[in-house]
Amino acid sequence: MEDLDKELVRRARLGDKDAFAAIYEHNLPRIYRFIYFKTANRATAEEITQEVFLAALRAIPRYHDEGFLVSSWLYEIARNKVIDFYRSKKSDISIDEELEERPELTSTDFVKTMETKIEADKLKNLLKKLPEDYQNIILLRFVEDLSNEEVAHSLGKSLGAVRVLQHRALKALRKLVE
Amino acid sequence: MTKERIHNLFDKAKEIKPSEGFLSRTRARLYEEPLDHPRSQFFFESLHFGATQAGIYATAACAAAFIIYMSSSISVNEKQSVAMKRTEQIEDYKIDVTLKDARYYKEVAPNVFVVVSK
Repeated sequence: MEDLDKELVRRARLGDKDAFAAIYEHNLPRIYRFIYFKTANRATAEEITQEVFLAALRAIPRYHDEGFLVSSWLYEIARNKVIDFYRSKKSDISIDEELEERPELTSTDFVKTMETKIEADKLKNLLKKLPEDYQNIILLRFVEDLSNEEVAHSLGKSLGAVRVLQHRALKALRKLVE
Repeated sequence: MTKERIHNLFDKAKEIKPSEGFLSRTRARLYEEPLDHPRSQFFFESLHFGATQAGIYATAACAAAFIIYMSSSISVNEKQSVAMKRTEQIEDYKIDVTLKDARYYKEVAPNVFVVVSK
């Protein structure tokens, strides 16, 4: 996987759009999910996700391989884009646009999607009550299953700081759930 | 119980996915985006990559050739040093040899003083 990742990045750096498309397709769900939990709704998450990949496409010729998967770099861009989004003070859009956005869903799919969404919204509401660092740690470490090293690289923090934050974030989340 | 609820929240969160429509829209948008990679730059970067690869192979080949040369040269030196030792021994002992042997020593160690026994 790591070798494939490196090869795709190498080709994308040389301007191979198919290689970048492969990086995009592999990483889109996780980057979208990360942004979804940090923003108001699906439409906003989609808008920011698209910005992340466009920024990555423009920046990839200058990408510097530090021995991590390219997803760590994409999370870093996503985190900055979310910060920009909140700085620009865009107002929250109404929460439910599921059906408008997804006309292809059948009724069974819709029920399942809504169930997932309800549970996801519970987590999202809990996360909103936590400091940003805690949110990032929980999403990257427990939802995206990144290693401590990858989390540290994505957030620009030391390994020790990530371990401490992880402990505190889980403790805080547990307190909210109880 | 709390732990279980938190795990359940994480599991459900993993099911959140972007819609197919969004995936294809964004892919199309990425293909439309012009790159800072003009064809010439692509060509030169490819060339640079090729040259780097060629350089690595050439260095490896040179290193291998050097190692082979050194090992063969060491083995030649070893042979020479064995011959030298023999010559030195011959010089030290100033051995008595027959005429037949003397011819041999004359070839191997022309400077050796050989006493031919009668």
